[in-house]
Amino acid sequence: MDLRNTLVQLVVDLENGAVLCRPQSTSTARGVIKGIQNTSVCTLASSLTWKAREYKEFDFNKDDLVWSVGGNIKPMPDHLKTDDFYAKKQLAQERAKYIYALEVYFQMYLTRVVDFYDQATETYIISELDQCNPLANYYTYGIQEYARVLDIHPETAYKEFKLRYDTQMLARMRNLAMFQKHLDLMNQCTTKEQLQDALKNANNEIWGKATS
Amino acid sequence: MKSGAKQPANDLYMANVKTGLARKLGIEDDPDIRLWADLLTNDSITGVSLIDRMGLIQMPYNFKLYEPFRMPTDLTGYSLTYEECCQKRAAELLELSDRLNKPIYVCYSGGIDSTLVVISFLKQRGLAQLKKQLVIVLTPDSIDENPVFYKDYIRDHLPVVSGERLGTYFDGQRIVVGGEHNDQLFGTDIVDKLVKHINIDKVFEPYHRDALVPYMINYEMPEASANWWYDMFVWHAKQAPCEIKTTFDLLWWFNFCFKWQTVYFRMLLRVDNSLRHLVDHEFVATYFHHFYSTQDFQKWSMLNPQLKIRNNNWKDYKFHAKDVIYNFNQDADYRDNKIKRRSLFKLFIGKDTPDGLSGNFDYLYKLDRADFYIEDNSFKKTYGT
Repeated sequence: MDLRNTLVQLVVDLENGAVLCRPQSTSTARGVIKGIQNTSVCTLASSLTWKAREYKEFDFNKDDLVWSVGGNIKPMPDHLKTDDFYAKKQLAQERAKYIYALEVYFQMYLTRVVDFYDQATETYIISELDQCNPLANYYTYGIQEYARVLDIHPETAYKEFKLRYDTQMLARMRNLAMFQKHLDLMNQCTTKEQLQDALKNANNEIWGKATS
Repeated sequence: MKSGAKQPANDLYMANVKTGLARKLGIEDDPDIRLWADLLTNDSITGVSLIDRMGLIQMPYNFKLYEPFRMPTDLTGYSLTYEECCQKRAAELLELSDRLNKPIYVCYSGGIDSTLVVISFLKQRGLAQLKKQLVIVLTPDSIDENPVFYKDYIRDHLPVVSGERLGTYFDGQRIVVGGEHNDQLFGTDIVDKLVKHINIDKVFEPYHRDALVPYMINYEMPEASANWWYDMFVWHAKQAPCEIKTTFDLLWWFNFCFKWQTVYFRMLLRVDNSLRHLVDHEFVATYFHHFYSTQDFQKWSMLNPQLKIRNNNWKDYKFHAKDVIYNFNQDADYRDNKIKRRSLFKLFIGKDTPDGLSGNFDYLYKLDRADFYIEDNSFKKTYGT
């Protein structure tokens, strides 16, 4: 069960509960808080009918709001509406926009490279591969069955799966490292222009450098 | 292995144009560089660095011709068929592998070029014998691109390793063989893009400005630049040792003459960082080969324009190579329906890629204009009438 991306997630300033932005994904939210001190991701139980009615009142990016424990959202009192708050809110929202774009680009990269099975099958296959011992010519029953159906040698089945996973995992590791590198660079940006440049550089590193 | 104190690089075998030269070297300031970059940063014709193998065009940067790639110009008495070139090349590489006692690692994408490479080796020695000498470098995409060939000739027959680790195979313990340059022999995939703009029949008519210039402009190239490049293509093609008649021929010649070197080196640019110190002229000449790079293939290409594509049909691009594959494995579906796909692009995504490779095999991450600019370059010259 993973409801994370179906629930509303907010970046909140822990100093005063100010809602800074509502990013489009969990990883974007986590990316934004890495770059702004004393912020956290707060998740709202927004898929529960009775809470949804309550939250429907708010535009989490536009309205000035405060969050409190229990997922209570209230309009922000005037004394908290300082220049500091607005500057922080603007920064969080700009970064959330560009970090989300970064995430989309890196997801695009993964979908071109990685060949997904459903998660349960993937976990099972990896566990089967771990239990095989090609040096002792030992292959699990699952690998043997796969080989039998396809009429190939179990060693071939094992190597084929290893190849697929080696390829996918390497691509994922690279993807993760590159995403983190560019996320950190974005979190050093303070203006829209800098964020645009950072996104362009990330794009070049993924696609541009692969073209020649 | 490289040794001794190094001079700073002042020439380039290749450069990653989009992330390197055109972006970083102040193209706004110089009309000659802007003209050069207008084509190289534009996806209509090419996105890679160009080196004139005829030695007629001087680029605004100091790109150095790799000597083995100088254009062969004496075509007299040449008569090998394409299939004979394949067999000769496979025999030559197997002989190298015997002599060095190192296995051949074939970069296999499942596409026409690399499938034919594997077949050429199989025709020389057969599966049983090759099992100890040939290793197939592939990815899951390679399996999907040609599942029948994979099942019949690779799976359960030949050792395989992951293409994701390609950069680590350049360690002097194996001979890496790629399938590059067959595109340069047969034509160019620019045609695939061009026919989305003009009727394919026009591509096979005598070359004409109207077939290419509006296409380049459509990709947002300035009109003056598009015309300059067209004039240069035509002027250059007139110096070719073979006849260039149609727009297809003109684009083939450009690909064959100007892109050959970059296509060769682009895989070498992705050698794993820990192994780059091994890469020098001797290493490259010994352990890294593209199957279709030979002078034989090049001469065949110049003398056989009728065997590159037929029926004005993109599906019949490289039909002659596909026929050789069919004669071996009788896969009619592959022969009749397979079209060219880009395969290396996926393999290169996310890899550590320097911006350039110097003429001394230095891997360069930063290209400074002052190091490479050539004042006396051809981009200050007018071509055509």
